[in-house]
Amino acid sequence: MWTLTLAGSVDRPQKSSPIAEVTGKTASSEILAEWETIRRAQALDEAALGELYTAYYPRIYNYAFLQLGDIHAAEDLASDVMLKMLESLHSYHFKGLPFAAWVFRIARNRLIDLHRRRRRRGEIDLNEMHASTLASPHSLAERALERGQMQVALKHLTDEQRQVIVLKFIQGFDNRAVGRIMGRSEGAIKSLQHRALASLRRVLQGEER
Amino acid sequence: MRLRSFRSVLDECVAALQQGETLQSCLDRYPRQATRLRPLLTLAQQVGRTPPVVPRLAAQRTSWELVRQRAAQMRRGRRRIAIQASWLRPIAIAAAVFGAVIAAGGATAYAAQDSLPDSPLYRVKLVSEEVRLLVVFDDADKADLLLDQSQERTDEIMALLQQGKPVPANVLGALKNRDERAADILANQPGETELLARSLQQSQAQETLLLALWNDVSQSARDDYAEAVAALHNTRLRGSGTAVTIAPDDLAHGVLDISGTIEPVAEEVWRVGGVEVRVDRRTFDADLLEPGRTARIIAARGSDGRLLALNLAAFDPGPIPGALVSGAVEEVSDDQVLIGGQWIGLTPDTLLKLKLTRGQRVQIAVSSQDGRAVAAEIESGEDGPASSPSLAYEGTVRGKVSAADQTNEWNIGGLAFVITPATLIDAQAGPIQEGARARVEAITTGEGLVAQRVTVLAVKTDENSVHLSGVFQGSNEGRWLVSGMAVEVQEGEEAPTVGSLVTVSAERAGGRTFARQVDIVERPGDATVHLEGVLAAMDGHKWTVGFTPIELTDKTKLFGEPITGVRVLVWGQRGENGVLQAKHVRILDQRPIIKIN
Repeated sequence: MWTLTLAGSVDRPQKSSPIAEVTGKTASSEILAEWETIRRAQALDEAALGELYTAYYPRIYNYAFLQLGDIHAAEDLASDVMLKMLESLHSYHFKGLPFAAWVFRIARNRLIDLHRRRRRRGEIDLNEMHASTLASPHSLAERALERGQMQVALKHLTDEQRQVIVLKFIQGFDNRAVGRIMGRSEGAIKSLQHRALASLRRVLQGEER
Repeated sequence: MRLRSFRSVLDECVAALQQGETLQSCLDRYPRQATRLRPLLTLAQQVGRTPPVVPRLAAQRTSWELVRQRAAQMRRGRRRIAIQASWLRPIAIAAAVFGAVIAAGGATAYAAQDSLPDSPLYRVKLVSEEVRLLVVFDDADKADLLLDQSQERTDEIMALLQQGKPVPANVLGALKNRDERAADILANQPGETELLARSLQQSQAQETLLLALWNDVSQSARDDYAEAVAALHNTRLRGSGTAVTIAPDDLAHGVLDISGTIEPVAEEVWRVGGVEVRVDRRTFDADLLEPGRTARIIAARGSDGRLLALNLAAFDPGPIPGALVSGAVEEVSDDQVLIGGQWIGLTPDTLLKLKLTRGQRVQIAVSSQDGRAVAAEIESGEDGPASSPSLAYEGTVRGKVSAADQTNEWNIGGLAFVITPATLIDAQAGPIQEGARARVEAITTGEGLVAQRVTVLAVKTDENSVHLSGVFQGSNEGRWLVSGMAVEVQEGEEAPTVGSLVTVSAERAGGRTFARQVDIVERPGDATVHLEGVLAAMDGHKWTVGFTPIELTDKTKLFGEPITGVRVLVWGQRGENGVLQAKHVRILDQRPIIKIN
């Protein structure tokens, strides 16, 4: 359900929370509904945990896949984030930051940890190799923008530019939330947004980075 | 009028589009920047329309199950209790211990949660588990939590195995400790039938696992191993209402895995595949014993050298079906692995001793489940150190080979092989006794030739005739070194490349081995698959060995008479049609050991 909502969200306000989509509650009560669900989940109510899981696992998986380009790695990361979300739920307090942003901050941190572990082990990121050797910007420019192409194009951006594109334009967070997730100011996010779109446009037009 | 930066204008327009405003409306508002804005805003819209990646349902379900279980654990550990004065002491202790853990760094306690027994944080993990137990006051809940913690030890052991690490003492001790405490609690909770059933089932699964891992336990952990296995076995005995127990001393010299025909010897003494074992009230499924049936037993060798059967599985006359496949992993998924052109299923019962990756050489013990080939066990197929490649040697058993005492060296084909607790003995084709023909797979260690597997063959041949296969290591003046064994070859025999796998039919005389025929089976770098199993079907050049289809070609070298029901060794490579093309086939038995319908 949220998939269809997101696809059509360009022409409609992106205000529906994933929880609202899952529970079917009206837009006017969605924030309260989500908070109620979170409160029950903090008490380890299984049904509430299930709602949160159903709402956020696909989003975290999508986020992870666009970063990692590997199904298994994305599944591992999504599963890890869900467990961490559960274990840290008791510490979540609403301070003006949407719950979704809190969950994605966990995901972002886990992703950073993963990259650090890989670098320590000297693991070669096959997806990086794939992006640089198999899918040149020229070939990307000739094709329509599909999911696979988006993933390869994103690989040509810096990590921060990629984060902004995914968090803001795919996951629908505002600057403030993106800033909280990435640990950057709103001003920095605005600048990153400009550079990210410009870089992505150059990649898709077949220009060198 | 102050000019706004382009990035601010861009940001405002992006937000406006997300709120539902049209692209043209934004561009009309900022005509000077419209040329630069249009492509970026259009791109932003395209990115937003990118279809999301849909997660796989199976993975999502598995992940949810993990979350659900974790939540259940957290619920048990966070039970609300009314504070009473008499409880202050245990709570204070818990707080003090927990405080000490937190004082060491909350991050430390958190980081310890995933640590394995070889990590310095493992002790912190065990301490935090104890803290959790201290604040659980309901006995049934405590037993449940102890069983969870015991199961966690199993997961840790499997994680170590997959990393190629030995099993240390600390995890075995922790497993035994938690299992015994749970069993003690449940002994006084007859009403908790579900928990009792879980305890017995878990103990059986853990005992089965540990019995299969004798070879993977570090030397310094052998005592803890014996204690852990004894504790698990005794939990099962108590659960079945049996008052007798086994002692760790009954496992002092490890365990033995024997398959063969059953014969009675004396009261509570049976012969399985020619090996004498004691079968009494401490043996599970002893009532399945019937003379003439085929059985597989896991027996413990005690400090007195005698064997006690712990677990028994009896079958109708006929061998236990199974095959061995060795080669490089071609593909791997969550539930199957492709090797030699055949998909072999992975099940929750598969004992996986390593993490599977493409290109890795593995050895898979294959069995049949619901009509499909599944992996019973997967381990590394790499040889040990370069100085000790494995040797397969066939010869006649000479002298006494009874396992009833502490004899641990058998003479087969004129060579002495050390029999260890880890040696697998397959006596399905007949008892292991003087005069029997046997095939030994062994490696050379400081102790000499250590037998990993001994298989009795259905063969009658000259007792001086031997056959061996191994890695060619070099030659010198007409003598070849094959997996540590010196072989005299005929004049003019061309030496293969070092590292080649060769088979040699030979004669033993005067303590020396004289080759009659030599064949090169595999050269270094060949992507060869090795298959071992019963010849189940033959249709012209298409055979089925074990559960694997193979094809013989005009280049196949065949040694022996193929009859369905005999055991076969095959070396081959995957053909273009995906089927294993046999290069070299050796028939091990001269008569069928299983009747194929």
